[in-house]
Amino acid sequence: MQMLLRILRIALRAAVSLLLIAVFLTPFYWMILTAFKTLGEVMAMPPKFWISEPQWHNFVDAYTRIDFLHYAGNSVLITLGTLVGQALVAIPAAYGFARYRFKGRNTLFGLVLATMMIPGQLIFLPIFVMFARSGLLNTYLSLIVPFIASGLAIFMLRQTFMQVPDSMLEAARLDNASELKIIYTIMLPAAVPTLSTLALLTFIGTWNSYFFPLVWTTTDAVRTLPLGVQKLQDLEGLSPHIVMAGNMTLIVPILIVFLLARRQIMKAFTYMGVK
Amino acid sequence: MKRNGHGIAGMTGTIGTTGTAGTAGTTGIAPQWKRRSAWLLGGALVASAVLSGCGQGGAERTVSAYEKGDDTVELTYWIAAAEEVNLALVDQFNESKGPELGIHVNAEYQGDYWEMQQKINASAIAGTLPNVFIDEVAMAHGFAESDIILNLEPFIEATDFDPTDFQIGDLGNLRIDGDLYAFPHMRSVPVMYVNQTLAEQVGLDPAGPATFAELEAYLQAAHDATGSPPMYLFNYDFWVMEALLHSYSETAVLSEDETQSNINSEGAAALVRFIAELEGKGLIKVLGLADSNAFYATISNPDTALVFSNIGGYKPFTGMAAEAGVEYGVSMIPTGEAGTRGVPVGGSNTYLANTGSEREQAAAFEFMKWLSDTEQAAYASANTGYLPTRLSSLDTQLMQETFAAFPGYQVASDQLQHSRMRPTTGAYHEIEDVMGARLNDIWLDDLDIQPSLDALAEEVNAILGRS
Repeated sequence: MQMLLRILRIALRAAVSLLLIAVFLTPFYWMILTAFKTLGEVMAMPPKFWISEPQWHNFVDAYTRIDFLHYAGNSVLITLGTLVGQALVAIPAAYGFARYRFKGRNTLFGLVLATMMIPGQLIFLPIFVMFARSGLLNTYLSLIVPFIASGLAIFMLRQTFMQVPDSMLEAARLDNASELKIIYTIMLPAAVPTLSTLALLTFIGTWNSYFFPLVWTTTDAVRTLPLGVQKLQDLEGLSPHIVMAGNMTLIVPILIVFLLARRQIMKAFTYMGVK
Repeated sequence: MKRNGHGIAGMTGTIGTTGTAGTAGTTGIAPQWKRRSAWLLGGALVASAVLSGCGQGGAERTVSAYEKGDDTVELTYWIAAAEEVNLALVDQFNESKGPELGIHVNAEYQGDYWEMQQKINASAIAGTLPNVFIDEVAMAHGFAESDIILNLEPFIEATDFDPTDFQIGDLGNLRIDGDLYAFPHMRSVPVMYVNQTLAEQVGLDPAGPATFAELEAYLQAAHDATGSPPMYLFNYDFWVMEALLHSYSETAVLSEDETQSNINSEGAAALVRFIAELEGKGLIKVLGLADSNAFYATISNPDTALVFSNIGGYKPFTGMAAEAGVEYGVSMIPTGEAGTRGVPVGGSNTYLANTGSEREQAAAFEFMKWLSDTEQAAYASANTGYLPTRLSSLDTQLMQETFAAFPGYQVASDQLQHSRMRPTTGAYHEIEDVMGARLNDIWLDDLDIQPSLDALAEEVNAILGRS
């Protein structure tokens, strides 16, 4: 009887897991399938869940209809710029909030947290006006600078840095280690899972960002891949197979980065859960 | 008077601004999300405009016709939708008319109409407006109330331009208090697409039902033959509903002075009930507002008998359906009991932005004139699927060839005799969103129709009240 219950439990767990996997993977499967179909297959009724012959030229069509390399290059530059900028600002800021006692620390940290509660749609207009008046519209800086001081990054890193024992810092200081060296040799190695998670979140957020690159640009000069894919949709009209080929190109880098960083991300969340 | 003239040096006119800082109400990678953002921006614009007192209090000034100088006037032209055709037109201008006039146009694509509206509103505050831009027809009032666009009458007067050739369909959206504030750019009307392949198989009239009285029998026959819903209603673009209200109910969405909603009127309630009954019988399937892809998929579904959508989709719809072996014809929207038929005229206008020097404004007007001229209007129409904006364009060889190859355009063009102006209030896109969502709730959740429409009317009236 117990054996039967155990088998049932395992079977139930497997069924639920398979269902969840199906729920999460079906949209991806559908996207990939559509990207390789002909228009006729996309529109076929009843829908086809397989392809007879992959249409590789859908990708060629997508890449040639828009200036794909230009948009992708902009996306890479802006994403890397935001990642580097965030690291330069958030790490020292978080270290300061975590390890220094100074007047107004809590108020300042409260302000940092408050930035996470203001919707972007509320501040994009004054920032747009500021960029327009300072001649920064349609520059890479306009799409990088506003996202460098990330409240979430400062908050998460501060929490991580606070877990490092005081004794380690004291020992380092006795060895005449500079603050930069302490950050580099003690804090950052302890925060690798948090840093990986933040990097992934920033990567996804910046790579996928549609609204800000849309409203803070008036020319194609610095527009990013999501806008290119949207443009593809406008240009191609009712050609979902070509648009999906463009979408695949947008999503693949995110999947690769996730696969590379997934262990660290799980570690970070497990660590936070235990705490 | 010189028709389609390109400017007479030395003539002058006066320009007046509306002087009120009003709403630029707005609506559009999820369309609903984009629209929400646009409302935020619209609100921000109102606040900003009020605070800065940007209205010019009806100030008048003299406008001179454009004269070619030693230097080339550089213009910025923001384009929305139909990017390739709009860019091709700009290239044509820069290669032909531009050098002759000493004007060079730089076209910059900004996305769809709703994205353009956001950019324009933001740029108005930042002082970075383009010289000329394209946007949806119903936005003229909102832009004018916010002093974003210029009254074209002084420019028309100064250049002896004759706009009477624009008389294709209702032109009410171009005018504010009788003055012209925009040129028509591309025009579209809702039509009824009829699946002729299915009609032939089932023995139905390939022209589709001529009246709403015939509609139910037509759909029933198609349903009996296929067992599938023969028609899908997609309310993201509310103007199909506008056409049904005009035709079935002989009413409009809003009262004539646009201060009250008509959506709970007897006629509108009868239409909503009619659709609910067809939906209950499985003859119409109402799609959610985010189901655009599902809606487009139904077009190539061989079991779909009728599609109500705009003529701008004629070429892509027929091309897509052909992949599935389905051939579509185009017919007019059916008539109501008393033979009533009315279709809203949508599409885009070109607007002259309230920015730049007087010379730049005069140059921008010259570009607008060229863009709206007979050949260019025909080119835009033949290459997009929108209708031309000039009567004279209909007689061009290009349009004649287009009508011959795609007879549905002729039907849409003929239907323009039943055209009606779309609502002009700057808040209309917010109203469209609310009405689309609430009507879908009524049909999909089987809500009590009259109380729901009364509540909807109140909601719409509240929006109108604050705009």
